[in-house]
Amino acid sequence: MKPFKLLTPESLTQALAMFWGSEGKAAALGGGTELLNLVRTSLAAPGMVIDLKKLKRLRGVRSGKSGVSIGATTQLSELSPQCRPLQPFAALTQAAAAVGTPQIRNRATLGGNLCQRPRCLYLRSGFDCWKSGGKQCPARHGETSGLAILGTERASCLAVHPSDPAVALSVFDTRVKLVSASGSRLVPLAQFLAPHESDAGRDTVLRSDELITEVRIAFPRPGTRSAFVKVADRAAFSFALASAAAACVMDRGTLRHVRLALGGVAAAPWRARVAEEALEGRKLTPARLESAARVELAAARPFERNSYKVDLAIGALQEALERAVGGKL
Amino acid sequence: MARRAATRSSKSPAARHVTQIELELNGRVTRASVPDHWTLLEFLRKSAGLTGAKEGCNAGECGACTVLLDGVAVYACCVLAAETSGRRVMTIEGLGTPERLDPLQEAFLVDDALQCGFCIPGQILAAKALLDAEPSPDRECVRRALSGNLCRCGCYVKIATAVLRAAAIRREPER
Repeated sequence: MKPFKLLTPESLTQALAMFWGSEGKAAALGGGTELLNLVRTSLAAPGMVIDLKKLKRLRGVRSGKSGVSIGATTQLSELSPQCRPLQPFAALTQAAAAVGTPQIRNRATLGGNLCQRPRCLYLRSGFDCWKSGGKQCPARHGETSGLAILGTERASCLAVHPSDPAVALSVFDTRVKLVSASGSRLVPLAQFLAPHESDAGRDTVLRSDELITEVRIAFPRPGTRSAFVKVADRAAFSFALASAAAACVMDRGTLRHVRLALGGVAAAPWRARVAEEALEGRKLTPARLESAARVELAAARPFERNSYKVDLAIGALQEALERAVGGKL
Repeated sequence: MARRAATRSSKSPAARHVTQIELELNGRVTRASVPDHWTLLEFLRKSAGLTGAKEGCNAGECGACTVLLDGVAVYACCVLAAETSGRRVMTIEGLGTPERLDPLQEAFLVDDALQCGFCIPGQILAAKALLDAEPSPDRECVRRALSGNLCRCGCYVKIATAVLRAAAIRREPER
C-alpha cells in the first residue's frame, strides 16, 4: 500500500479544515473496507487519510420530528431491525443486512457505502476507462455480464452502482448532508449519485473539500410497509446481480404511495416509476404486479451477456412488493 | 494529535509517517511504532510476531485474517494498525493454551473441522464473536455468523458442527 499520513481529527471543524487545506489529496476514512482496497490497488493514492471515527456527531441514528438522521460513520451493523428509530424503514435494515459479510458490516459505514466506486472488473483491474480518468469503456465490447441494462443509451460508463442500502433509501425521501468549511448543503440521494455527464470519472457530487455528515430520511406516511430483495451469486460477499426495494401503503387491498427501486441494473439506483404508476391506486394482484414489472423492464437494453438481469429484475421487483405487503400473493 | 510523531530521519518513504500506538493485544498492553499505512494484519504479522491471522486475499474477501477488535469480528486487512490504539485486539494466539484449549479449539479437534487449516484461526474468532453474543445459536445462526469466512477445503458442515459443540461445552456448568 502506498504510504500516506493518517490524521485523526477530534472535531468536525478540525476535520473540515484538514480537507479544505488538502487540495484534493485527502481521503476520508470510515470503516476502511473500501478505501484501503482502493489504495492497495492504486485506484486511490491519497497523501493523507483523515479518520472520521472520533467525530461523535457523525455516529449513530437519531429520531427527529420529520424523520431520522443517520450519522455518516454509523456502521451498517448498527442499522438493524433492533434499532428503534429505523422501524419505519424495514427495507433499509434489510438492505444493510444484505451487504458483504458480518465482518464488513461491523466496519463499513453508511456514508462510505454510498461513496463506493463501481465493482466493474475493468476498473478494479486497472484498465484505462471513464472511471479511472480515461475516455473509453473496455467493458462495452468485452465482458458484459455485470453491466447495466437500464439508462445506458447515452451513458459513458456502463457499470452498475454497487450499494444495497442506496436502493432501499431510494424508496424513501432521502437526502445527504454535505458539509465543507465554507457551508453545507442537503442533496437528494438521486442527485447525490448523479454527477454531471462531463464528470464521468466521478461517482457522486461530493467535492474534495466536503464530507458527508449525515443521511436524512423523512418518515414515510403512516402505514407504509417496505422490503428489500437482493439476488446475488452467493448469500455473502457478493454484490447484487439485481436487487429491488418497495414501499407502499395498503388501503383495503388498494396500493397507495407506491415507491419502487431497482439495484444492480443501472449507474445509480433505478426508480421504477413506470411500474409505480401502473400499480398506484390499483388492487394488488399477481398478474398486475407481474405486468407492471415487465413494463418497467421494457426499457432495458441488455448487452451480449447480461440479458439475464432483465428476468432477475422483474422477479426482484415483484418479490420486493410482495414481501412489503406481507408475503406471496 | 499528541500521540502522533512524524519522524524525519526515515530512509524509506514508508517510515515517513509513523504513529505510536498502545493497545491491549491478547490481554497484554503492547506499545509499538507503526507506519500510518500499515494494516492491523501487517502489524500483527510483521511487527508483533503473531502469524495466526492469515493473509489470504488482503482485500476483505476471504476472512482468513479475522480478529476481534473490542470483541467484534473484523478483517485485520481492512483496519489500520494506527486505529487500534487504546483498543483491545484478540488473535488466535490469545485464545486458549496447548494445555488448556478454548472450547472452540477443543471442538474443532474433536469434529476434525479442518483440512489445510489456513482459514481456521479466522473461523474460530468469528465463532467466538458469535458465542460471546449468542451462547445458544442454532445451525442457521452459525452459518450466518461464519458467512464472512471462506474455507476452500469445503469444511463448512463440520465447522458448523464444531461451533455448535463448542457452544454446548461452554454451557457446561463446571466451566
